[in-house]
Amino acid sequence: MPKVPVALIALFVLLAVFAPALVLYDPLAQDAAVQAKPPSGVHPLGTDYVGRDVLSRVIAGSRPSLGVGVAAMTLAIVVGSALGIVSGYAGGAVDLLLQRVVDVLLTLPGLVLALALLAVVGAGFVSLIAVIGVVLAPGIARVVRSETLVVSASGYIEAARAVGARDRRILIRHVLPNVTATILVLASLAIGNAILFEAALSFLGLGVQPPQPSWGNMLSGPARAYFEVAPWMAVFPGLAVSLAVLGFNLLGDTLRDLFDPRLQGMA
Amino acid sequence: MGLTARVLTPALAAVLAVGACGPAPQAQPSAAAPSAQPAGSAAPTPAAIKRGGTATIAFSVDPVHFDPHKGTTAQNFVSVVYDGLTQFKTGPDVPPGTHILEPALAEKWDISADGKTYTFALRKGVKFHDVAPISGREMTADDVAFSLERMLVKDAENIKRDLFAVIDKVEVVDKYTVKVTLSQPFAPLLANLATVFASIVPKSEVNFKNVAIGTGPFVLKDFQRQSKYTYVKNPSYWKNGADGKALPYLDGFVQVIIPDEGARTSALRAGQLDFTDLLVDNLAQELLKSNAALRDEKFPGNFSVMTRLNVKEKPLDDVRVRQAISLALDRQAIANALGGGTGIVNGSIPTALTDWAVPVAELPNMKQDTAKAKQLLADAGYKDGLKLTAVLLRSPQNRQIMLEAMQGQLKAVGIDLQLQFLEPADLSKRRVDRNYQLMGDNLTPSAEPDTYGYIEYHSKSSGNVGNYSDPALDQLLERSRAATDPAQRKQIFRDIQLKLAELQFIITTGDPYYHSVFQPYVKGFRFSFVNQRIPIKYVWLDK
Repeated sequence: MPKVPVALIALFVLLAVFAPALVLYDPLAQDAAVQAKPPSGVHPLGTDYVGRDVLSRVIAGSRPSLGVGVAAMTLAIVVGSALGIVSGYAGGAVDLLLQRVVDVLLTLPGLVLALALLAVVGAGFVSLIAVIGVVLAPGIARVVRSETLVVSASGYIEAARAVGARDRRILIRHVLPNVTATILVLASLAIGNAILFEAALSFLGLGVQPPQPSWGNMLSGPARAYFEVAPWMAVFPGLAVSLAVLGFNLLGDTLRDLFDPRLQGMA
Repeated sequence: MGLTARVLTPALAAVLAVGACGPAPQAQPSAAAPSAQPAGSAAPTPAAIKRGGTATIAFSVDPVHFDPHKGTTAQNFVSVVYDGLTQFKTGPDVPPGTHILEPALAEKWDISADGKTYTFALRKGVKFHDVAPISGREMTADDVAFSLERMLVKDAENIKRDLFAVIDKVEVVDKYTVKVTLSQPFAPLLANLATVFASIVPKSEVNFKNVAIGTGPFVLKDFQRQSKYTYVKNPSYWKNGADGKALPYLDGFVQVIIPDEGARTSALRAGQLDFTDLLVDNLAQELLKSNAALRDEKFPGNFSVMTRLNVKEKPLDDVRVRQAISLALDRQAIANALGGGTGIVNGSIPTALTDWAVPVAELPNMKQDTAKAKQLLADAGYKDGLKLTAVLLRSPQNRQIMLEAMQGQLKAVGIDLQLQFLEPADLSKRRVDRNYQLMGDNLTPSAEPDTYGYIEYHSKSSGNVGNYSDPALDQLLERSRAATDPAQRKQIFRDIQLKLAELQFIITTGDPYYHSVFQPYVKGFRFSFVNQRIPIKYVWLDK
């Protein structure tokens, strides 16, 4: 069952890690003799408008895409989980305050929020990671909080409290391990989302800047104008985004099936 | 059609030739015998012309306002609504690239011996559109004086003021005569008066940003911003067609806004558009291949996508660095990238201005020579390379294509070019503040070389946004404006182009070939860069 997502993810991780060794051409090198040429034996996925090899750029583009995906996911998970657990466990005024902040962030469409933040901090690799992390964190916080509420109300937490365990110990030893399954599922989905956000923001010009390739910026700009006559410039990076996101989403699905006792035994 | 020898006295014809484009041998046959032009589908016999019908065309940008004297997005919308004192001949019998000046609202004019006084005799009985509050009253000298003075107002919005700034005084002599006095002789005046920026508007207090009431062939009837603009024919237009009745042939036309090039070609293919222009070569080829019924005309672009260098910024103040940048470039490769496989290389005056442009092969520093480029950089003290930043807009995309191609080529000589994409408002501010190193941009298309010369490069020109200042060049540019002898003017422009190739203030690269593509039943269509006027006055539909 999990073979497909694992294979997809492994493929892209290997591409990203070994990109410099795998590319056929320098992804920035231009060859004026082969501008906008369709896929061929020499250029398996064709060339772009200034004669760069599309395959090499798709491979090189996996690095910023996956890099931003993993880094932004990590940030979102750490921040979102911490807020969610504290909020759910503490309850009362702390919960009320934190959840209203989360409410506000959730009312804003993610892309609009990301664009607004990037307009303030400026485009760049680090700001891209930070902004996507901030955008994804509230959703994670909300789900982790509800899981924490369930766990906090269970008998073993009450027992731990009865024997005098401190809040910190209860949170780390009892609550966290019991919400980890949920967090893992969320993390897998968050990587997919982060990759999509990176692609969208690069497409809009606020992500990875040309000539450095990323799947998102390869889809945007001149490749769009050329879409009718040279679709390979945009189709292959688009396909890479789709497959990578599909891989992480399928993995998230599989993990959820594994962890959710209610689904155990069902197909 | 249009200009015939009958209308003109020999003296006037000579004046026109001077004002238009020098000796222009190709201007003669078309002016004398328009019906002799075998322009295929585009040259009908008068009897064959069918009147009536409504055409639909697409345009990519919405106008911010309609005021022809202020700004550049309005021109493609109001160019059919207004006329100027003069105009460039358009229509199916004018080959692209030829620029023949002809009378419009001014029927004829006299130029004083010192070249400083122009007396325009206006066409009588020309009526403004029958739209309130002007309601079809006659156009007179008062309106012309009002319009000229309006063009000369010192206002940041009057961005084309330099085209007319030599006008010192405008006097109404009588109802149909206007006298214009210049501060100095100025060869481009009649050509500049043919631009949309010199449209004659009715003397009134209406806000020309919101209404468009002129004397032109079409009346703007209705519009929805960002969507469509509907025009109906002006029933009392002053100019006759080939069938002897008043132009235009169409009952009206609709201009729809379709920003996306791909969507425009799809709409044409689906039959929702009757014609479109400025389709880049490769897109047009694809469209024509898959749709054999469509007709097209191909012509070289004269926008000249280019890179401005700000010479106040180190190291671009050093001519050796600028020459090195120029020598590092394979311009044909850049032009090809812009056109998707084909393209035309341009020097400081685009090749499409055949009467003026010096062939690029004759200009120095325009042919790739990386060894010499590296040597010049080393001489200038940048042996280990240098880093430059270019600012640009995301759209139009041709700037990105050009700069990405340059980025790759400059790397080979050790120049690391960074691209910085800006929003339109930011870029405008950077331009006004002269706060940039390099800027991806394009030149304003024109039939008059002055636009590519004085306006861009003179140290005192408001269009000079790169701090360019070279005394010898300034002197040449001033002489180019004052010279009224066409042969002499041509020689001066040759010297200017050689000088500019040496100075490399603006790195010109090239343009795509463009196509106008139209449905088989569209007749009389011929794209014209001059005035940037929509060439629809002579269009008729054979269906």
